Amino acid sequence: MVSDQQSAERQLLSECKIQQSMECYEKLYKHFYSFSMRVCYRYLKNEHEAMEVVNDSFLTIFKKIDSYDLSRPFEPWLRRILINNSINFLKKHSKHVLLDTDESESIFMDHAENDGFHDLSYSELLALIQELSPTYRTVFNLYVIDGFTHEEISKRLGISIGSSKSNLSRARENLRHMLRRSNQETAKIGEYEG
Amino acid sequence: MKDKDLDKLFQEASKKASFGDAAAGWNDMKTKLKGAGIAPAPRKSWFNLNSILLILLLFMTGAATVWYFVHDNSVVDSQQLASKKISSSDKHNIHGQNVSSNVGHNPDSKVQQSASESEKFNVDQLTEAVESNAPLSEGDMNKKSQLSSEQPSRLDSSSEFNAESDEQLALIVQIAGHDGQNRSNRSDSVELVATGADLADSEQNSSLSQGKESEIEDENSKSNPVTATNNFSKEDSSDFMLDKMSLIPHDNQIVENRLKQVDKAILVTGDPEDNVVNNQNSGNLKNQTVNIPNDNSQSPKGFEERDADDEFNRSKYTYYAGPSLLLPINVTFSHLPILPNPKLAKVNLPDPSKPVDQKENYFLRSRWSIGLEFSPDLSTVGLRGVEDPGYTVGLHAEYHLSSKLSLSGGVSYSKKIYFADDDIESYPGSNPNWTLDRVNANCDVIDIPVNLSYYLDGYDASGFVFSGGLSTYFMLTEDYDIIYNDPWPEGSQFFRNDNQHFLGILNLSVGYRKRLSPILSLQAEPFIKIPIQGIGAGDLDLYTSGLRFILKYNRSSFGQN
Repeated sequence: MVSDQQSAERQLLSECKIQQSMECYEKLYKHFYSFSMRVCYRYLKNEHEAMEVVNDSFLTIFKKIDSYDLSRPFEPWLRRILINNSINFLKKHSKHVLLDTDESESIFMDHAENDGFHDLSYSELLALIQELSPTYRTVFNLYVIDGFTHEEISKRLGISIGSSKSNLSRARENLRHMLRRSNQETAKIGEYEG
Repeated sequence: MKDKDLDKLFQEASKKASFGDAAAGWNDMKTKLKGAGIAPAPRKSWFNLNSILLILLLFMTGAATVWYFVHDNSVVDSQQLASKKISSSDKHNIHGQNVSSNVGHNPDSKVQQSASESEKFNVDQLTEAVESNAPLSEGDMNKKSQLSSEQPSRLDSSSEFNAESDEQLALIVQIAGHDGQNRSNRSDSVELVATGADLADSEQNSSLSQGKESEIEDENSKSNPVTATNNFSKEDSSDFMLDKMSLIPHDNQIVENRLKQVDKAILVTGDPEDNVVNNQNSGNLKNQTVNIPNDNSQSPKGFEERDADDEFNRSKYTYYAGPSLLLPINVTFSHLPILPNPKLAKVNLPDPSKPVDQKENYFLRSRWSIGLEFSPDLSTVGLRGVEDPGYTVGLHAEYHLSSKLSLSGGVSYSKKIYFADDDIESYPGSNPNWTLDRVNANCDVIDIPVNLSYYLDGYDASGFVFSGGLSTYFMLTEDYDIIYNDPWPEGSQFFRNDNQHFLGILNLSVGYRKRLSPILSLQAEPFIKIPIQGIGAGDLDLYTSGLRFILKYNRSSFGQN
């Protein structure tokens, strides 16, 4: 099944590379739209910004479709472009430069466990990531979800490795706090409705 | 919750979250594709207003530059004038070419003469008047005297006038004070006054496009009355005056060179007594010799009377054809019926051995020049190749240390588009584990140059300019697309105000500066900017080369002294 999907994707990419028609581009765009939005949405502030970066990334892909090597998987390439464009978008449009540390970000030390985290939907979980400061959000996404090392993150963002680790730790703490808060609010709503 | 569990939670969310509104995204995507020229429809974007305006601007700039630099304004193309034919239906209205002159009797005086650009000349009336030996007005004689005895004239009222046989002439006129004290080697500031018909003899159907340093007004010509016998209008009879004339420095070499460019020189005399016209043409007049009456009683305003009216009595001055004022003109005489043999006044040549005082000219103008510059240019790393062209626009300021040496500076905004491939193994922000293929750069730069310029012929003349100096770059923005070979994906980097390079670029240029007027000049110079230090985030050897145009303004006091 997976191989069939990959084969279909490869066929679609091949058509796009050869024909370079709007019909092919539209198919390719819609096929990878959700994947692309999931990547960008984590890095950016809202869905609108995510869509803008997704479209910029596809524009780059369509421009360079001639040189695409069909023997290589498409998704990693697309992911890389999406991540890079998301980070650049943050730098361009955010007053917050990706600093080593973000002092404005409060640190929550409440370690209370709560298994009610899973009550949140996937979209709501991604929305929690968006609530992080740009610095924490970027480091968390790069390390936890996209699999970069601290060394790579430090070079990509121009920060030290220690800062990358520190930002990751604080991002996790903030997410825990937000998850607890969301769960408590959900519980209160349930009690009120019950 | 442990870190591992937390990470797993969000990793799962990032894989399974759904964003289903792909149609809305595609609508925006189509707009981007059209804007980028990828979509089929907008490929007709050749009709892009901005592109057309840019092309027009470049074309006009280039055309103007080529015209000014290639065209020798001092000599009119005789072939061009000779090929001009006047149809028979229009033969009664022969439009004279505008002539510019700049003459005066005294450097301390300033009057202005302005001849009409297009003067009508009733040939039939003039011919009739001559054949009947009727009194002629000064205007008539002025017109006739344009034709020297050496110049064949032709009049054929039944056919069109053809000027192909005419020769190119040059009128070299200088008026100097008889005591010689008025001679000035500051030729650009000399103001002389024409005294009437003598200097006006040759201006019809001639042109001059040399510099217009000053203008004089010929009051004499305006005061001439109009005779009723020849039915010439006042305008016809009085405005055959030199309008503007270029003034050439008293430089023997220059004069000799200029003389080589002309076929003949008309020497204009101030002697009004000899009014005999030798017509060597066999046209309608059949080689007849015409005596132009010199009787004041017959001529309502003869020479003597005119001299009396002249503010500048020509008896007080002598005229000569010499190198001081060089008026090259191209005269087509075919339409003129009668050739009065012009007598030229005595000529007092200035001392040609006396060199031009450059300093005197130099101090007539301000030491400061300001200007605007524009340069299309190309940037390349290591001189390996170029991407799209960039451009530079800016302000230019220049301080003249001497007549030939100046110190210039300014501030300009520059768009630099370039790429790097073979020279780079890593780039800031690139993945060190991947192989770099290419970096495409698009940078906005503030360039602050400090240059020393040497004007080969001095700032007061058109000529070549050699410049060299250093530039400081302030990198406003740096946008890089990083392309990898293995794996294939592409990254992107963006920097803002991250790099400055103080005096890190060597400027070299050789250009040509054309004086458009005493205060304006246009300079075109190919240039190259050579990096002394690494430029941008990648510390690359970024070369920039192009063609710079500088429109300079220099406040001048020419004509004020």
